[in-house]
Amino acid sequence: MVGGGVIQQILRRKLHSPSLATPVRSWLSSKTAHVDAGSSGVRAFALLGAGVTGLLSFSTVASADEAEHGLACPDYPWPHDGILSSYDHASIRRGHQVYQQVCASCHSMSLISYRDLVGVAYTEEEAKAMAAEIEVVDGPNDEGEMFTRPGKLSDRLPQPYANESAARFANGGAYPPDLSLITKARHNGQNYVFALLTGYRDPPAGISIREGLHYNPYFPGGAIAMPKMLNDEAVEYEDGVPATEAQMGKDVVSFLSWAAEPEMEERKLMGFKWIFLLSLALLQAAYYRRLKWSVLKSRKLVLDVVN
Amino acid sequence: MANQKGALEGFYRLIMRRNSVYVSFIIAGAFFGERAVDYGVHKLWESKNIGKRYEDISVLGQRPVEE
Repeated sequence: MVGGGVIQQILRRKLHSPSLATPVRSWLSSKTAHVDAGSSGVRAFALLGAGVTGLLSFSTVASADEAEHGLACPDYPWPHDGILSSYDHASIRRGHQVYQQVCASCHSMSLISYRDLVGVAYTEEEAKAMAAEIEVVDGPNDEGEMFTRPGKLSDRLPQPYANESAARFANGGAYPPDLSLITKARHNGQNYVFALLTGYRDPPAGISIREGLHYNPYFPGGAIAMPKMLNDEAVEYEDGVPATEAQMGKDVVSFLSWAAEPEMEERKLMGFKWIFLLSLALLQAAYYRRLKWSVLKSRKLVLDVVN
Repeated sequence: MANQKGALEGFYRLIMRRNSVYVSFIIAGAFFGERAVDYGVHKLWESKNIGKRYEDISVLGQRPVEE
């Protein structure tokens, strides 16, 4: 607390006094000197206050409570990390398969349509066939009745429950959140979701979780309603990749990242291209400015004084 | 910075003497330059993302098996 003020005063001493050889002695003498002088005494007090405020604000910043935010998750090396890295589309396809077979029974993804998957993970025919497997309620026919029809590309991914109340009722009061934007809706979303899905373990000694909840250190509070869903060989991948827990976690998070940010590849390409071009434009602008100003910058002024 | 024989000096003499030439150079340069930059960035992107493209999916075209 006093350190802030001390640092301020030492800096001021160094700036004002010509001799830097004896900063300590001059600081000690300056302390009394500043108390005597009127306006510089107020300045010293103000600078001391600024130093104290700065130090105090540091102490409140970094104390993130683990009980409040959950265990801090590690940073995983995602294949789409980096300025010019695209999604791994094979991983997106496998991740959609994991979602469909493991997660879709409880979690909706109501912002994704079947047509979004075309050209990303499935061909148009594949996506059409997948959409046709679901039944969709469609708007009134000529007789005024609602009817059901097979799904089309334009339909959204099916929801497991009709509404939030039904979802809560079926899951012991807990609502399985919609996953369309989950990697953007959670802090450090991609790493968090992977750590959460693969982070189920026995609670440490002394911690007891009530019936119906499960221990997960990455979930804020530690007790999550979702049981461990990713187990080895839970899914059989079409391309023969061994479906370990970590592999399924990686693939499903790749799929969820794409679902939340489908524009990422175009955004990275655009960003790279335009930052590059605008840097060149900056060089051109600087040259042009100096060109136009060269007339003025190279003029000579003559002071003609007649006494 | 730029003497009589410098590259910038030659550039100035060729392009920047008349504003009409300057502006034409910028517009044409922007058109062809953007095409060139798009091509170059695309090539760079492809070289850095081998095997990750949609076209590289090995099981493309085989209908996924519903469990």
